[in-house]
Amino acid sequence: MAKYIGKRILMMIPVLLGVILVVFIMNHISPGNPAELLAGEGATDEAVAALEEELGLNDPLYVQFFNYVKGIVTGFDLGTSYQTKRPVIDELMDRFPTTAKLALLSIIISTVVGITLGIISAVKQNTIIDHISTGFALIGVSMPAFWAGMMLILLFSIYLKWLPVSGVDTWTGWILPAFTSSMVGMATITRMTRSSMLEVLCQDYIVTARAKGLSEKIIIVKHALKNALIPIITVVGIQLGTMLGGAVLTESVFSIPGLGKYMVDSIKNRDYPVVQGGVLLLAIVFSLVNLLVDIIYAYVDPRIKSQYSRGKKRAD
Amino acid sequence: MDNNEVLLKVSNLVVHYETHKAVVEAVNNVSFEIRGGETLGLVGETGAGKTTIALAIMSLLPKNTGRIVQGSIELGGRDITSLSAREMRAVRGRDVSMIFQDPMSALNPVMRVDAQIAELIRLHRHVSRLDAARQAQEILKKVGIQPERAGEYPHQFSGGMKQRVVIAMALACSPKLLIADEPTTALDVTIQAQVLDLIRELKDASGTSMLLITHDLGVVAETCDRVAVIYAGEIVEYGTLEDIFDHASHPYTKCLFATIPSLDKDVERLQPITGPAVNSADLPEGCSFCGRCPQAREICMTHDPSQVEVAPGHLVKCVLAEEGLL
Amino acid sequence: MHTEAMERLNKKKKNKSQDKAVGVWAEVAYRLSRNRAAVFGLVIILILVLFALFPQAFAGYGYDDQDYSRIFIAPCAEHPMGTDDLGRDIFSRVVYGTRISLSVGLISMLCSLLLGGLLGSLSAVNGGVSDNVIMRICDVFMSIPGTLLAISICAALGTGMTNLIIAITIALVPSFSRTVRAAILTVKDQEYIEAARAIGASKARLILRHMFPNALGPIIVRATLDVAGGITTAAALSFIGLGVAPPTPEWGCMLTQAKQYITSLDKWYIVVFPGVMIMITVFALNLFGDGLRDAFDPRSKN
Repeated sequence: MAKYIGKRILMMIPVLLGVILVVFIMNHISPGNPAELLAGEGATDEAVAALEEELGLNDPLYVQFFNYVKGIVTGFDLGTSYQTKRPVIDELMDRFPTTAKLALLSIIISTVVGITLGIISAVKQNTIIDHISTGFALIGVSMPAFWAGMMLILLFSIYLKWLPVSGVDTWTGWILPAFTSSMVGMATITRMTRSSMLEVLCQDYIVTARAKGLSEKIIIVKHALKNALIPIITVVGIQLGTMLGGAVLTESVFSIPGLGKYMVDSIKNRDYPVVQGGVLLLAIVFSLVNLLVDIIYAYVDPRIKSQYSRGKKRAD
Repeated sequence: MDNNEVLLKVSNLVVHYETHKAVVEAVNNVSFEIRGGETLGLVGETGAGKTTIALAIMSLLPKNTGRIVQGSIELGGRDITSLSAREMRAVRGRDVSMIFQDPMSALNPVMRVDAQIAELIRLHRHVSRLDAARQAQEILKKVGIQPERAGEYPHQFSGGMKQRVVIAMALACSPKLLIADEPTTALDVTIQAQVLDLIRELKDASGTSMLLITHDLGVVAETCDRVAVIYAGEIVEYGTLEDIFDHASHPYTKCLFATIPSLDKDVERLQPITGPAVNSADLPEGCSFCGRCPQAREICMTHDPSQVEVAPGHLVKCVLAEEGLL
Repeated sequence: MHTEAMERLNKKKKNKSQDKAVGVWAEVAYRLSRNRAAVFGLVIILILVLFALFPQAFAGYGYDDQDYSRIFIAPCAEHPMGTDDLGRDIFSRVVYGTRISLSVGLISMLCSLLLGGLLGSLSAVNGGVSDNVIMRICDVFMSIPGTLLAISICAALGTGMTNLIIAITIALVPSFSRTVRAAILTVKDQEYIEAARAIGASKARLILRHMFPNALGPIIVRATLDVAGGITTAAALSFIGLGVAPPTPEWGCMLTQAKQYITSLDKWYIVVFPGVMIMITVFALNLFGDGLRDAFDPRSKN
């Protein structure tokens, strides 16, 4: 198992370097001269030139990239915000916990609800319950989350006046944003669980389990779900990524002071290092989540683990 | 062993598969018995309804489509078609168990093999987790899987080994009846005999009766006490091993034997059965074999013959038998 | 012997293969037509396409016709979806918006189909180093969540429809390449490909004549769903101020402007209708895409 995890971490390094390269390029082609923008409006040409030299903007591109990677690896250096002149990483980390909390809350909601609905749908295939839940799931994946959030505000905050319009100062403030950003994930996981369960339920080993005299409940939970879980776990991982991306939208709809809203504000202020730094940070988080997903994967499906462990070869 | 009492008595069993498009008459009026310790071979080609009979006995017909239309299945004197789902669950795995055709897919890929067997033992014997695990190891040892491999996952075993696991699982609770659905078809020829021997050995040791489903007459000759030849969901010939092998009477049975190469007879070509198997969704009015029967006559097209006892215990369902021509 | 008999044989073969080709598509079309949900989706898509092609025929006003005497009119006979803060008819704007959303979705899909199809088939057919390189590059792009990647690209390139399409295309290409690669790999090892190779068919012929038609099912399904994905992403980007800028009646863009009125319940129609249009469009494409998937692979339904 340790070997498998080690191998996965090693495989992650080139991918992360690639991600850094992409963000570096995006930073590079972003409009404006960073030195001018950092120095401020009234800065002299000399001051700008000095800053250019200091930032290494005159170095060849590959040297700049090398330094960029070095800065990230040694001190999480994502550059300096044009607006506040503070290190981007500090600005981002101030707001990251809020975003992480929202994403975690949403992924829990969407996984629990999605898997439950998916199982019910699959077991009661082609009944009215199935039609209702697949219908909702289809509408769920079709609604843009940011608009759904606005509709929820309109209904629960403005019309019914049950929940706050914006902010997360009280726990009630979390309800709508968490539901909004979990909606797409919930629908996707429901659909995935349903189709995965349906596929598993017609496998021979389910007939074997029935032939043993096991009850339907045990067959579904112990035999079918564990097998169906394999593709579901992948989808959950991908959904967490989608939620991190969606956080940008959800947070700006609900005015939640997290990473996403900060990035949107920075887009409006043309504070590009912040935007790209935020993308990089979230991409790294996403990669770590995927690493975790792969480890869980190997835990659920013994076939994957044994691909990586030697010695125990197939008998035939 | 013939004197033992009847363990399984299937009477006038009719099974249909109903979809919105068509009704498939998979099993038509099938009756047979299996006595204690005895093995009945169910022989026929693909699609003849052999597996459907097995699933009907296990009460595992596809929930939405398969339906027992008529008939009874008595196990030890109790009609199991009328049992509730819960009562039937107690029967499955304990009194009747089944070996499936394809060992590759019959085991749960994400569960250790000993756990899959222990689960069954715990369910029906109500023993502790530890005892169940121990008993699982014992039965695995009996089928030739060493304790150090018992904790492995199915994908770590070869096809033959997996079938041994499936056999161990089927016999773990010493069932009264074992249904073996083409237990060797998916295996390499070289290990077919081993696996068959193993099944026979274990079932004889525990006094279990067996319903062996196969299309391989060689397997039947080695294993069975009685044989039922099935065609298009009907038993066309039924008798002891000698009745069928030495006095085959139904044209279909004769055709089956003509398809097997024989060492002691010098035959130029094997005789295939001509024409396609009959469509169970659209059975002919008369005898269902008449389209392919070399001895078919005009009456066969319209008249569906009934079973005739041509010798004690030897039943044949053919016009020729009805007319005493056999 | 050689001439006549062979000719007849060839003719027979040819007819047969044609029959089969027609058969597969006819079969898919038949199954699709039997799927009520998919047909419903297709009808909605066709109506939206009509909106996009002939907006003047449906819209009573231009998309930027401002009338300050008629601001914030609730839905009525003359303005079925009401008017906005500048007195523009929301229904007319929404109809014109169809053209933008559909073309952004469609063009991005076509671009990513082209690029992803190329990369994916190169990867699958050549294997080895090129497969590895292409797939690792895809890994890189896929480890950035799609919306974020699009945000990053749009932020760097600036606003505008072209940049929006570029951003969405780049975000779609990696997973598209994978779909194409997987689809080709599944057919690659089938025996009929072996057979074609054995009789000496060229590589191009193998790809175009044998692999592509058989791998087409999952690719078409993917493309349909990607149009939906592209439309949602485009709306999202416009909503946060990237992508299309006002006064273009892009649906996401309309919602940005509407957002400030969310606290006034009486102006609900400004916030509701553009979103409803996005939802209907994406919903229809999803219905149709699901139907296509079931039609191509009837086993997937059960």
